[in-house]
Amino acid sequence: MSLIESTSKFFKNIGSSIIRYFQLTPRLWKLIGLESFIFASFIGICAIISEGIMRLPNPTEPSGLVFLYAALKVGLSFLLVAIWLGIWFLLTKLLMKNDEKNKQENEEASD
Amino acid sequence: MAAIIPNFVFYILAFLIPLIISGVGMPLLKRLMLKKGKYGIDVHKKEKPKVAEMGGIMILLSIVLTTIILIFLVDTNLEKMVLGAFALTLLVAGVIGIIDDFYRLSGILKPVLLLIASAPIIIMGLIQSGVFVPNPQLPLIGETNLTIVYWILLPFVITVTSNAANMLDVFNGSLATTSMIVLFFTFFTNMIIKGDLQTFDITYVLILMMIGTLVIFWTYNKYPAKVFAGDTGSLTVGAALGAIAILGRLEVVVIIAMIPFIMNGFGIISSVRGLFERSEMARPTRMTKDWKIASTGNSKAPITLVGLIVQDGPLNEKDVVKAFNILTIVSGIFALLIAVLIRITLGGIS
Repeated sequence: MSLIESTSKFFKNIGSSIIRYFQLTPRLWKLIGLESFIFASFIGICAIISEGIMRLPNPTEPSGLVFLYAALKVGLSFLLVAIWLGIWFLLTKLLMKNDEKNKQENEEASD
Repeated sequence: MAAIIPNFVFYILAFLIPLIISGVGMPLLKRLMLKKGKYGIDVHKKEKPKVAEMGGIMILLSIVLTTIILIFLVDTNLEKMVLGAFALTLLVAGVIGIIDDFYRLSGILKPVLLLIASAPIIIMGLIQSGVFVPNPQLPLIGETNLTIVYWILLPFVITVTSNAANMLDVFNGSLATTSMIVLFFTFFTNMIIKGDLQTFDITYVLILMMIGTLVIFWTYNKYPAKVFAGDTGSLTVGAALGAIAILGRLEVVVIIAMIPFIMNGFGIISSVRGLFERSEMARPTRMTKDWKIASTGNSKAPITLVGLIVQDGPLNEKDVVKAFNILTIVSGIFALLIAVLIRITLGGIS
């Protein structure tokens, strides 16, 4: 076997092993979708904080009010994170319920 | 910078020393554990083999010993402090793991005790400024000034990552491969955010030390496992990921790279509404006649990542771990995107 043939065989083997490894990917599309949602909504939250909350005008005095405003901004950001976590949980539950429903329907159909 | 030896040699040493220590120590530990009767039964195998427990001791030991050696090779006080804080954090988490492996701590006590694991980082931070910076970098926002909030949140980072790793350590090789994928992507995100390998950065050292020890652990823990990590291993590895996030200023990217870990932990805690030990909860999965993992369909069982994966039908153990890895690779790619966004926000890429 020539060097070119053996090299191409080596790369083909690597390629096919990678493809084999990722064969499960279509089965995971719902979970990958959930991951993408988590990622995209995180970026969304950062955009809201950057373009909305951070741009709220800051008072210059008295110092108590300055601190209150800063605390309010942090609080609002954490509220957004809490909403994000809540939606994340609801979606996970929905995913589980939908799958259970589909499973039941499939079982009924096979009966 | 590490003045005694060139940066590149230092990085190679950081990878090789724990690799060698684990490589020599793991077979000895395996034999010792089996001899002392400290073994677990692999319930996912038909033959129900006895597998040596507490392999995580070698992960912990190799990191601590490597840190001691490397502390003599770095020349700035800050780098010595960072290495010390990292090793001590892992040591505290590891000791909690050892106690848990022997006495089974309750579902609430374990995370509460893990709050102490961040104490070395906090103390070192008080002694030497710059050990960690309470200004996490966020995409589109840039550097934030969290100061007080950061100090409050800091102990929870180690607790969350340790418990998340602990909850994902359910199949042969799952902890080692997913953690190595997270570390692999963290390495490159660090490169994107901070710059190339030519500038000495202690964060690379922490990442490479962990990869070095995990490579050996994986060879013993992969299917069919000869050694289990135990809570010693999973809490140590989880604490390492959290410590790297804090000490390397990579909080956001590590959290994003760990989405499957957090998804799993978050699903369990929120669905059972509290912190419980595995044995206290209904089982989300069962073994089929052909030894595949299937969902129990029990509505009282926690929502776990494996439960969601096997909803469409049973899978064998190897494939479940493959699925974990694919999900971690996806989140790792997201972490890279976050790193690029952070770099753009900080003005590094025009």
